[in-house]
Amino acid sequence: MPNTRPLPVRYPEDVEHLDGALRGELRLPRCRRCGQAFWPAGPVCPRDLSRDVDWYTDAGTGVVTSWVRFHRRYFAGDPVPYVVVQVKLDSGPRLTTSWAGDADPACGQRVAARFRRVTEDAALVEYGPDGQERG
Amino acid sequence: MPLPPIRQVAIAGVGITALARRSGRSPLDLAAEALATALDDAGLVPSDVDGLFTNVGAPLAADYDRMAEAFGLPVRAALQTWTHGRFIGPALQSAVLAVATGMAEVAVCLAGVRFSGAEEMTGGPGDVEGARQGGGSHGELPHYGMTAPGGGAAMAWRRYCDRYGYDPELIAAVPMALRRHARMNPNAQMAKPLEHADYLAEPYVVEPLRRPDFALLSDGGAAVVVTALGRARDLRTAPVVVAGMQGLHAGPDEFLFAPPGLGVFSQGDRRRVERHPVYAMAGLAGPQDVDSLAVYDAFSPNVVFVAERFGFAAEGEGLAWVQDGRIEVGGALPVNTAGGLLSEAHLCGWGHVVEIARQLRGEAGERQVAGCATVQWATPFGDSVIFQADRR
Repeated sequence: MPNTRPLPVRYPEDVEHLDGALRGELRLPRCRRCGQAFWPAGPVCPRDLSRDVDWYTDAGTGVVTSWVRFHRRYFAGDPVPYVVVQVKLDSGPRLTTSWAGDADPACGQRVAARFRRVTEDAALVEYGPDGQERG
Repeated sequence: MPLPPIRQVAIAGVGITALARRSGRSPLDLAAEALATALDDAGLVPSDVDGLFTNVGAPLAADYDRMAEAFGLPVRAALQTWTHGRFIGPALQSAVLAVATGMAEVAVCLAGVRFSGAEEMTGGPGDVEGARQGGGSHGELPHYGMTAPGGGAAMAWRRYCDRYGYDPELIAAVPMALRRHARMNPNAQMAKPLEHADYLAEPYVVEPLRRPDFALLSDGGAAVVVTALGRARDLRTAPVVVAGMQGLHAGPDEFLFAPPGLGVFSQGDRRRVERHPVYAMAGLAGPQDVDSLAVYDAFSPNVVFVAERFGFAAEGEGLAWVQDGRIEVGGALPVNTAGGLLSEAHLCGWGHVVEIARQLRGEAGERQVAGCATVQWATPFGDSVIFQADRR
């Protein structure tokens, strides 16, 4: 087993999101019956069990609702300390991702998505201050 | 035929081994000692045991089938849950229900736990659960470096402190109180004093939580003998009555280490007042009737979250409520009087049940809660059991 940080697993309901990240798009599932976006992805809407779920490209903006800083190095090669942030998207769902800002995040801060290529075949959404996207 | 009328149920014996960070002992060896101690406490023998219940298994702990085989137990009702401490409540409740319905006469809850050598399970490359679809059950997403249960606990704690306007360091009151309790428990591991300055000198693990906010991963065993109250009254030790129970909660508004509606992970942002049938089942008006509280304190904030979830403190007031000795022996509501997962040992919760029995039997020595007649087990995930001294 490698001792470095793993890549995300490509479960069937996660492929659209992961492939979107490679194109620089935040692809999220949305229920066509109730109209609500949701996260994490799944085969049905968690509000009404509808299978009528499609995907849309989210604007990727929201506010920080919490964040933590890992001081312990759990995976070899991780640059400790590092920050993980929770962002409540303007569209509703809350994402947990890496923080890409230079300064610490603050709860309530406006933020926007950006994408980081981690291998040739994988990219991850991460968050930083709104207006400072670095692509 | 409907199910038969249920029987009243009691704890008839408890046992716990010596505790260590690294014992060099096998889980099976630890379980064997705990079982023998608990059976002796009750005045029973292995051939009396026909129910076996545990919340953990290999590689962390001994599996139910090996324990039954190795200890010569003629088991006809067994349960082993997903290996997580959180299932201590459901495992204990299953034992109670098995006895209540007559599926078992003497049900033993048993765990031999060896965290030494298994620490990787709790974060990093061994975080297999984090690769689960949708993430791990404590919020793990290892591809973002979000690994280890403490990551989710820290995320909830920052959210709570920001939402209600607290300095996160005020949580020090919880590990300080539990350390004082551990210092009155000769079997607890952490005997070194922990005062506020000591707490602040400890390193962050996942900020804003520091090392004393994390459970003490340990090696040890514990056993709890459950039988019908009528039978328990004829045994060696005074029975501890199981008076009320409610189950583990789950759903989109639940996160393991947060009250509903705190606003972490998939939770909504609206806190709500819940019904807690455990009190009425036990014949209590509410939390004001509880003499001592046992909380699954995998992380310090759990104590604050249980206080709010069960109504000991109002929304947003739990962190103020735990200050100034309120949760210490001699205070208004002593919590985790043996030192808890933070300062006694992480035995996946069973140490708490052993301590509950000791308190209700008046055997807790220096840390005995005066007039202790009712003790509540409660978790931030909503399950609870209320225990009472036998009032025959």
